[in-house]
Amino acid sequence: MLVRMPLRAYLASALTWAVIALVTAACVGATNYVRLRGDFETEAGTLHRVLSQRVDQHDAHLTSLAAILSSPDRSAATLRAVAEAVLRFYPRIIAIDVLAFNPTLEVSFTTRELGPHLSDASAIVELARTLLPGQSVVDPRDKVGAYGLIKRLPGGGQHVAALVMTIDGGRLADLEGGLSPWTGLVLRTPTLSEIVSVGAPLAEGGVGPAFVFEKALGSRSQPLFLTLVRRPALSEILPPITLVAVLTGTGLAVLVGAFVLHERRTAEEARARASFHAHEAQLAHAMRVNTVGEMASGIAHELTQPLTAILSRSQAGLRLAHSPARNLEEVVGVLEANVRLAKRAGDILARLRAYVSKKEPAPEPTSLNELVRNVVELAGADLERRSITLRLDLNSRDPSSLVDRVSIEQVVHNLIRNAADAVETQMPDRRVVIIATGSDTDAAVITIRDQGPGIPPEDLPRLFEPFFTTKSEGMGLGLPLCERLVEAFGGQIAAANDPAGGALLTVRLPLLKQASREAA
Amino acid sequence: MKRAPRTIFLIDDDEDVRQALQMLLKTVGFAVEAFPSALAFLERRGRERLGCIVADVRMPGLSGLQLLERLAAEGEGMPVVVITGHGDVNACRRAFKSGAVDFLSKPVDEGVLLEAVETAFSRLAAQERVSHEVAEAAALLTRLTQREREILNMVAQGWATKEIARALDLSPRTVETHRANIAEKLGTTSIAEMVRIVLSTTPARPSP
Repeated sequence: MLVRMPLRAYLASALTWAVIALVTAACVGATNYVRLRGDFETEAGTLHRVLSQRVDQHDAHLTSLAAILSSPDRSAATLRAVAEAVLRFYPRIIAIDVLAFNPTLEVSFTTRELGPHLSDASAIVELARTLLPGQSVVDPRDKVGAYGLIKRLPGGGQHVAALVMTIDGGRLADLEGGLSPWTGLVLRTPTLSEIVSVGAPLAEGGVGPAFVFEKALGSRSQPLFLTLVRRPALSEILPPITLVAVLTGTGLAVLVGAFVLHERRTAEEARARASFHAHEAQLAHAMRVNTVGEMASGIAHELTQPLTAILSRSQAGLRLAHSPARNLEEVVGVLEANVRLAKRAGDILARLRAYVSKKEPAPEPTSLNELVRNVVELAGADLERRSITLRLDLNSRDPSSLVDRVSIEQVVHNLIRNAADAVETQMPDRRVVIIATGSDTDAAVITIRDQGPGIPPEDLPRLFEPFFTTKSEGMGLGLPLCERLVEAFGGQIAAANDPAGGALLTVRLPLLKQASREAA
Repeated sequence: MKRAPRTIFLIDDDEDVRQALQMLLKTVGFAVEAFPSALAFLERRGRERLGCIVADVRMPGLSGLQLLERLAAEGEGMPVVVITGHGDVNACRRAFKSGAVDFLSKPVDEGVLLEAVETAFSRLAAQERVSHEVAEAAALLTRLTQREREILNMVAQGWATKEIARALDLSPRTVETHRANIAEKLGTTSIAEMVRIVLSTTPARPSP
C-alpha cells in the first residue's frame, strides 16, 4: 500500500483526509443530535403522560375516600382500611388527613400516627373554605419535596371539612428506568414554586442548544408544571469510538483513493510512453523536418560560400581564356577548382538530405568534433540572428563513438536549441551557449552548457518524461526523444544545473578506442 | 590604371572564397593581399602602402562589421567594401554608418565587385589628393617665421593691418613688411588663397 509519491502528494492526501474526516464527523454529529432530540421528545412525552396518569390516580383516591366519608354509616374503620391500603400501594402518597371545622378545628382523621402531624391545619381549612364542595386544589404554599392536594368535602355553611393528601415529589417523579443521562426534570406547583428537581442541574454542561420541554400535567386538580431539559454531551453527539471509526475509515478511504489515482496516472504515463516509443522513429523524423526552417539561413550561407567561389573563379577563368596570352593550364586549374567547389556544395545538400531523410539509423564510427561542427554549421546562422554566441570547446583528441550520425546530430541540435531558448531573454553578455567534447575512460562526452536561469530543481526528475514541458508551445517530446536516441546507441543523457549558473546537459556515448577506430 | 598595380586587401575566412576572389582580382590586374581573418589583416597593417579593403561580414573573431567600425573609430582612411553571405538590413545599415563604400551579397558578380572596388579607389584617390594638398600647404607654412605665422593667422581671421599692429605692439609699416614676406613665401598675394592654406592644415593635422 505504501506507494512512491512525492511529498506534495502526501500533503494533498493528508489535507483531503482532514477535510473528509471533518465533514463525516459533522454529519455523524448532526445525525446524533437529531436522534437525541427525537429521543428526548419521546421521553418527555412519555414522562408527561405517566405523570399525568399518576396525579389522576390521586383524584380517584380522594373521590373514593370522600365517598366513604359521606356514606351514611361513616365507618372510621373502613376509612382507615382504605387509606392504609392507598398508602401501602402508593408509596408516593405520604399522608392522608381529614380536617373538620365544626365549629372548632379538629383533625378528625390522620394516617400520621407515627410521623409529624399536619402543622398548619388552620391555613388549610381557610383554603378549603374558598373551594366549592367536592373541588380539589394543590396547596399553593412552598413545601420542599412534597405537595398537598386539598379536597373540600360536601356540606355547606359554617361546616367545612377537607380531605388532605400529601404527595412526595421525588417518588412521584421517580420513574422506572430513571431519566436519560444529562437530563434534568423539575416539577413546580401551578404557582411555580419548585416541588422537586431530579437528574442533571438544568443550567449546566453539554454542547449545542439544550432540548427543553415545558408543559403542565394534564390534570384539572393538579396542573403541575413539568420542565424537562436535556443538554446533549459531546460524548453523546460524537462518541470517541465513532470518532476513531470516522478517522480510520476516512483515512483508509483517502489512502485507497490516492493509491488508485496514482496507479491510474502511472498507467496513463506508461501508455503515453508506450505510444511515444511506438512512434519514435516518425517523431524523430518529424522533429528534424520541423527544424529545417531554422536551419535554412545556415544552409543558405553554407551554399553561398562554394557558389561565390565558383562564380568568381569562373569569371576569372573566362578572362584568362579571352586574354591574348591564354594559358590553358590556368584555365584547367580553374575548372578543377570548380569541380571541387561544386562537390562541396553537393556535400552540404547531401548532409541536409540525410538530416531530413527517413532512413533507418545506421551506426558508424563518428567523430564527435565533426558531428558538433556539422550541427553548428547548420544551426549557427539562426543563433547569430538571435544574437546568441556559440562557443566551441572541442577536445583535440577527437573522441569518436559508434553511433548513427544523424540521430546524434539531432540530439545535439535539440540541446542547442533548448539552451538558446534559455538564454534568449538574458542580458546580451549572458547569451552564450558552450558546446564541448571530451572523453573519459569509456565514454565520449558532449556537453551543452548555457548561462540561462537553469532548471528548477523540482523539474529535474521529470525532465525526460514524455509530455512534460515548461514551454508554452512545447510538446514535451524533445528531451525524451533525445534520451531514446542516445540510449539506442548505449549512451546516456543527463541534465543538471551548472554551479556557475545555467543548465548543463551531458551526453555520454560509448567511446570508440583509437585502435578499433583505425580498424574500422 | 595609370599607376602601378593598386592593392586590394582581401579578408575572408573561407579559403575557397578567398582564393577565388584573389584570383579574379589578380586577373583583372590588382595586387591582392589576402588574409584569413580581420586580426591577421590588422597585424600586417601599418605599411606605407594604401589600398582598398574587401572584407567578409561573417568571420570568427573580429567580424567584417567590427573591423569596419574599428577602422572608422581610428580614423583610418582606407575605403572598405563589405561582402556578405546573407545580407540583412541591419548589417547593411551598420556598414554604411561606418563609412563602407558598398555592401555586396555573395555570390558577388565580377561587374558589381569591380564597380565597387573602382568607387573605393576613386574615393582613395580623392583622399590622397586632399592629403597631398595639405602636405603642400604644410610645407609652405614651415617656411614662415614664428612672427609671420602669427600675423598670417590674424590675417586669415580677417584682421586689418592696423589692428594687427596695435595688437602686437608693432608699427603698421613693420606689419606690412611681414605681409609682403608672407606673400612671397606662399607664392600668392590673394588673401583668399592664404586663408585656404591655413584652413587646410589646421583641422586635420596640426603640423607635419
